[in-house]
Amino acid sequence: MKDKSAWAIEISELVKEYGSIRAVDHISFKIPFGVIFAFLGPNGAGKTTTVEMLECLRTPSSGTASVLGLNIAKDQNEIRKRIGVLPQEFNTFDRLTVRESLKYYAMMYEKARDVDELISSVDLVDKANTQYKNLSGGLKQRVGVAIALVNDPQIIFLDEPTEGLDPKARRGVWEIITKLRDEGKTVFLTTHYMEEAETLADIVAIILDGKIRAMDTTTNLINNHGCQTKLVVHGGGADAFEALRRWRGTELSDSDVIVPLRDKKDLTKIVDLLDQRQIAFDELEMKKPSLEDVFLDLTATNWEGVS
Amino acid sequence: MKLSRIYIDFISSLKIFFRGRSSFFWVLAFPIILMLIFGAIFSGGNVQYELAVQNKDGSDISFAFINAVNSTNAFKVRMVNASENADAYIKSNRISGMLIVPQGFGNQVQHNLALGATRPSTAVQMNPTTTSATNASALNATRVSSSSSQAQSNNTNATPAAVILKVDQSSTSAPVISGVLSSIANGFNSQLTGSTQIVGVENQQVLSSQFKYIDFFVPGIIGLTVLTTGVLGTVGTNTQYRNNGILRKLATTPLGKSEWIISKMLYQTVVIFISAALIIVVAKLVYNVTVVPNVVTLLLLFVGTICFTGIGMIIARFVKDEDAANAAASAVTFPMLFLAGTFIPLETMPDYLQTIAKFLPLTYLNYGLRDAMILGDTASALYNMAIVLIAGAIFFVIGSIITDWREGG
Repeated sequence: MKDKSAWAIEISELVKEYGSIRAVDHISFKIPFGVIFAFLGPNGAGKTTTVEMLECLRTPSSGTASVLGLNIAKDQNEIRKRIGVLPQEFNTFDRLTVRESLKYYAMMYEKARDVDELISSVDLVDKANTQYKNLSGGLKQRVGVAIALVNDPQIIFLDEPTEGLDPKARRGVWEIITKLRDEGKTVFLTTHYMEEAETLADIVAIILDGKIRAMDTTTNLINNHGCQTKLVVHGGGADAFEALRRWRGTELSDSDVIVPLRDKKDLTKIVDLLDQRQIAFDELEMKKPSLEDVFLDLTATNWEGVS
Repeated sequence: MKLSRIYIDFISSLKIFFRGRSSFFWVLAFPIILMLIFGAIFSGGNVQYELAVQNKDGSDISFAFINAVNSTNAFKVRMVNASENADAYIKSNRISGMLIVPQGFGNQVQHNLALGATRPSTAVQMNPTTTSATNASALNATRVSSSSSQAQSNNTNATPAAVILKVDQSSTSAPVISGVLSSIANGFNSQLTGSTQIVGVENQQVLSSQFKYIDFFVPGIIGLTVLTTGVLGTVGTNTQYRNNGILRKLATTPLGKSEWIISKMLYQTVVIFISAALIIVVAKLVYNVTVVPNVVTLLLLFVGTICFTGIGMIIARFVKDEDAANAAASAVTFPMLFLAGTFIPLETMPDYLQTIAKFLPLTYLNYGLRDAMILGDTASALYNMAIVLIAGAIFFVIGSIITDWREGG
């Protein structure tokens, strides 16, 4: 089936409505094989609804979509055999051990990977005989990823895989995801962490109010949305703000002054001006544009207000 | 459908069950504790018991005796036509006590008085079943006769006049009914002879098999286990697995809804078999009960599991919040426990509650288990099982159809 399709996932004019609410609104995109695709958006944007339609958990109101060349409306049984899923807020049976849980899910499929080899691949050998309820949050997510891989799927859907994890555990999951791409798997990553998408993804799509607002490689998204490098004058205060406000877009944030740079010459001009007026400051910091800037630019929403 | 998927889910469910202390307690230990408590404290309450009375004699003395029974206020007397077949009446009306004043009772009393015998006696025959009045092996008797063997020997021509009491010994009221009637008989004798306390009570077992209240209570406790495991277990599992996302994860695998339901059914059945076996073993060790489980019992447990699992699936479908679902399940199970005669004899309830009981599957499961395990009345057990099966089929089919496995799950 994979050979017949050029795309791992193909979506065309997909719509999902709940009564009068349109959760997904005529979205269309294609994802090639072997990439990490990050699906970004705030809660309620339509991310999970879209993913659940691709996982054959929900029926589209209209439009079409295929996974590995298989139609999500007609080939559901075949799709389920060939995809791996880590649902949002993953959980499994509390009182089964890691090995028992993996065996349980392995027996759901006609062909499955060796359970011990899988345990080793997610670095859970020491915890193989520990009951799920006794694992830390990071280790639980590893179990979830291992379960998603138990049928050796060609596409893995990971819905908020690092939600609620500490930084160390998060990086552990990131390593596993990167390894999957190295093995040639296609990863469909749903997240609201900008850093996660920027670090891992080859392609990023931003969804808001059920519509795709942008989709491209991370670099292209940043370049194409006109985000600028910024200079932060830490501790510059009101004096620095007054001196630098002629640069369009300059902001005062607490005692820091943030100045968007139009070109490289701006940096020299600003330093000279601050020196000339003898304005004191703590330090200067160059801030490169990020995916978060793209997102804020597209949504005009304070990211802190979105979780 | 793949058997390997059903097998692994079934085995995993059992592992989860045996590793969970609370489920282990509520399903296996709690019914036993309940049985021990009820077994220890059971006795008739201070209530008015319904007593059917059939007067085949029609003499003044027979009416005087019935008036004496009526005047105690211990009984709500229901007069039965003299031509009625007593056993058939008991069976069809499911009453727990019937007093029969036989033809010739009045003449015999007069005869005894004329002979100088100062103590007409009441022979009280115990019938422990209302569903199988013809089950002879279940019969034993208590005879109320003269406490004075010397007086008896001095009046060899005097044949004691007797009334017959048939009682359902599965009822907590059985010992109370026979005890009160013995007292009434004593009082009646005293009135006739003008003296006091000239007769006593002699208990006499006339058949080998004797049943106690606990024998009849054990099937009720097993019925309770089937009900609570089926309804509360299903509601708990479905809502918990839905709310913590396990159902959503399972729905992304090839595991089908039918495979999931079948494995859960098998799991519930095995748990109930284990629970029933433990209840019987403990009851045997502690109370030396005479219950005899057989194939019909196992079938009844299986059919009951189907029925109550179906009800559980329906509740879980409509009440999705875990706490609310458990409350709804309790709201269904607990009234059913009491209304279906698990703890309280149905005949002590008002008529409208008895009518409600006729619509509860647990009523028929309890009857069926008692028929199968206590009375050995296979025909009646199968009849009750058929009713549970019909109700179970309806609930289970509806529950299976409406259980949301994917969309919105």
